[in-house]
Amino acid sequence: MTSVTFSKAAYTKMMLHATTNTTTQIHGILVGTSSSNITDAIPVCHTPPTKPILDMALRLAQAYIADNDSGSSQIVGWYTANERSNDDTPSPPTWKIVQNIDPDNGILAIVTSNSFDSMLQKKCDQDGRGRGFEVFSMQDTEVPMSCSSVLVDGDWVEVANKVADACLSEGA
Amino acid sequence: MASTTIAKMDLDALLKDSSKSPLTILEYIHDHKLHEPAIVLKLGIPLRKANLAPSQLLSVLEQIIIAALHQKKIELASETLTQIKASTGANSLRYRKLLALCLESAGDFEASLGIYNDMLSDNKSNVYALKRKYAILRSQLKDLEARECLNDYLEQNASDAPAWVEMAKSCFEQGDYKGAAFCYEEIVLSSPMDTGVHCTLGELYVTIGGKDNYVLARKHFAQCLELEKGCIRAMFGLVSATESYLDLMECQLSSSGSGKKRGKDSCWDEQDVELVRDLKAYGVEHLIKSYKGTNMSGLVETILSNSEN
Repeated sequence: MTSVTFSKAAYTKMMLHATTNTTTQIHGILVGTSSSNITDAIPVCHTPPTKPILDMALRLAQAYIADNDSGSSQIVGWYTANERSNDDTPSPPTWKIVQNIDPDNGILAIVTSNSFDSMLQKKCDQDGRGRGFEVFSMQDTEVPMSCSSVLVDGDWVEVANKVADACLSEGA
Repeated sequence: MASTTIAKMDLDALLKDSSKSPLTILEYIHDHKLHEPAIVLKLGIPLRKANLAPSQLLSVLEQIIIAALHQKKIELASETLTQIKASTGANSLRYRKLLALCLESAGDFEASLGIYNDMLSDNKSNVYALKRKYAILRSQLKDLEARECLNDYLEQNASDAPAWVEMAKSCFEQGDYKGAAFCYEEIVLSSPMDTGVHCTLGELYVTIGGKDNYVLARKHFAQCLELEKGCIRAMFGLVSATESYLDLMECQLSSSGSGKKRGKDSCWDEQDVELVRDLKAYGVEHLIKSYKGTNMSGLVETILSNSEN
């Protein structure tokens, strides 16, 4: 996989979920037409994910996708944020979840503490640095995808600033 | 929570009452453990040079330091600490606690850890030092050392439920669900009426898996629903636990050969299986009822009716 594109909706929902739950870990589902095109994010929980939560969330997400889409979308990955500041490494349970979703092409997005701050201060640049999250793929679980490989549907500065406005209006 | 609200309302009344001295108000804030750093600084700073009894003055200075640290006024905290040191000397335990707190605020965690380790070498049961040490190690992402420190604390303070919650958090982060379940079993001893604890325990047992754990899980979900009839999370958990039990049964029976049925010789008791089916039906029925009239009702009915097949 060479690149992954996030829609404005997916980016906004992910960051809003993180903004409204700053002191706990958050988890959610990434939906897309493929693992290189993320079209939506569905928040799941802001507690450690357990089997019943995952089981029901994935079922509800699949039913939602089937109801609202012509069948082109599917669950392609997971997003998360850790509880502690500067803790930007995905935890072992989140990797297990992504492995179960798609062991070959699954995507894991993690909202990072430092760049989250810069996104809220509208310091995201044209290349997406300071956007507030990193993306890992199952093809390389050690190193996050480079900036040039993570794209947004539109201009990074414009989209990130709108996401920041949405988060700030929710009390970030 | 309610007592804090009442205390805060009384504080507002005290602040408006001009006959009350600043010292009285500061004592009130201290006694009721209210978090009012701005008020403490406003009233306390003029008292630093006041003619108070030594114990009263030290108490005020201590309050000023804590309030200054909350307001990120490290210099003010440092000056006040110097004043305390002049009065008590550098070997005073309370002075060392405050010094360590100031060092933490300034980001010098090595120095503050050194002070806490000294306190612990003097007294292994120093609860305050153990807690602060754990907090520092956890914030520095030193998970192994933090867990050891928390372990030491829990060995001496096994009834501290919030500490068990911290340990459970650490276990969750590592995917150690058995460890987290152990912690939550300790928590449920002190909070048997807490629906959240029962729900989490149930979820943990379903996650760990196995027939006995599914049985334990459904008991905790049932207890949660007994305490709070409308708990949606527990209803979903109950459906998940019962489904997992039935799936495991089907899997084991089919792998052991098509001729073997449930019965006396099987480890799957007929009555228990019927109970599980009833519990699942109960969960499904109440979930559909709870979501009726909402925009999620269609989705919930779809997934639950699929699970019945």
